[in-house]
Amino acid sequence: MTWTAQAQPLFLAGVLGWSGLAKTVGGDPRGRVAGTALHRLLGARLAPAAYLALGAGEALLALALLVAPGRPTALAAAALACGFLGYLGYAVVATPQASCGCLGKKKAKLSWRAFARAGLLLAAAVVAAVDKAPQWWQSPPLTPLALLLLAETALFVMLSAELDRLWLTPLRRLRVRVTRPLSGAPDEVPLQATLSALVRSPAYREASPWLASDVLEHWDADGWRILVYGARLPDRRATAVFAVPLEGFERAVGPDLDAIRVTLVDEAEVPGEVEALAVS
Amino acid sequence: MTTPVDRRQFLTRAALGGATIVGATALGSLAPEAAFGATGPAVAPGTPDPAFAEGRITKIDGSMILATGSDGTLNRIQATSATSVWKLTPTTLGAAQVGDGLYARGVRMPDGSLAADALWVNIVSLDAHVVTLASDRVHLDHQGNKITGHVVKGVSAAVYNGTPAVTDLSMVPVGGHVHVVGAWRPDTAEIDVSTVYAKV
Repeated sequence: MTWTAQAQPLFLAGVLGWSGLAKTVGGDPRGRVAGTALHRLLGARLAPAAYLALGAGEALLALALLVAPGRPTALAAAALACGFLGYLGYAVVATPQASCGCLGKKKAKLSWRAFARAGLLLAAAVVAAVDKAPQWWQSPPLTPLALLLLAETALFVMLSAELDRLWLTPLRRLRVRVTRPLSGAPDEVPLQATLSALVRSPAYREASPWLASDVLEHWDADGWRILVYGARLPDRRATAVFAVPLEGFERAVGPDLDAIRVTLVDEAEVPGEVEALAVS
Repeated sequence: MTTPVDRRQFLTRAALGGATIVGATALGSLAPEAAFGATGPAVAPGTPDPAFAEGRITKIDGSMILATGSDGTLNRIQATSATSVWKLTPTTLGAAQVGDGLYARGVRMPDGSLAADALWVNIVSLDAHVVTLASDRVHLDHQGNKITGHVVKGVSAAVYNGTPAVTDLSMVPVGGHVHVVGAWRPDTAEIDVSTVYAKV
């Protein structure tokens, strides 16, 4: 499969050229290495310089793979891929929370995908180094070569967490738009909706200085949601009872805030307190 | 003997303006100024707030909760019938379990225990990116960590652009940034979603 080996320098040149340019162009290497394992490995002073040097090295190797495909450049690419694997191994042990800083500005947490991607590069370099194939410009079968390059590039992109936003996120958006999970929820006003209306109401502002607890219990009655809070007055405990109208939520505007009512009730006057709290 | 229904009917009538209520005026001055004017307990900067406690529950003995704080402090928290308990929804102390995380606010007693006015069990509040939505869950990425947000029917709600919460979570933006309040499932990377705040 000579043409398979012929394709690998092109694939490697594309990947390394892209990665090298992403590292060297765009500036702010200090900001880019912050939070990566490289920063931990080399420290704040050396890491930005090493990052730029690595980018330049990748770009140069990409150029060499293009103009002088053969065993030496393939072995250099294999050595670089081994270096990547070693670096990832260090990173996953030393700084599992860090990003690898492998491909440009976008940071992504380390996972098996980073290892698989470096493995893909190593495999491509080994194939190119082992097979004594002619250079890529020496009459390769164009269609299979193009298809192989396309497949390898697709695999590389799929293994690059940094590139998820370009294809995976839009794909997920499309799936959610088509299948619409989490819609068709029950047609009821959630507690949170009444609470957010309540805390913006004049009634709540008036009573809030006395409130001691969060919601003790709540229920719906006659088109109202009743919300009960514990209150602490200067000389006794009390119960604050709010009534929030359930109208208006279906229009996504909420109720008339002035219609929300509050009453403070002397706890001693409330019947069945213990029983109610036990079952609510 | 009174029943819970009596209590709820009584309080409903109170809120909606029934006739048999001991209302606000019977309780003296309720102007906000009276409460705001009262001097609260002084808390020096950097010192712990005596009215607050947090930790993981290590023991529940009746209405007394023992919780080990994140700094190792052992907190004794006394719940009463007037203590509100939140665990995804307003609930009772019976829902709290050993191993749950806890935030408590209340009044410090002379014996060092906290008489709790409010307990929030397992509450979490986090900023995250939405990875994707599934039929009963929201997959989140919180600082590179995957978190599964379980959607609880009738409870989980979404607030879009600050409008009132709705139970339809299908508009939560995949790939977008959201704020999520929920109840953590102890020792997992999973939460039950209370509210998702999103911009659409």
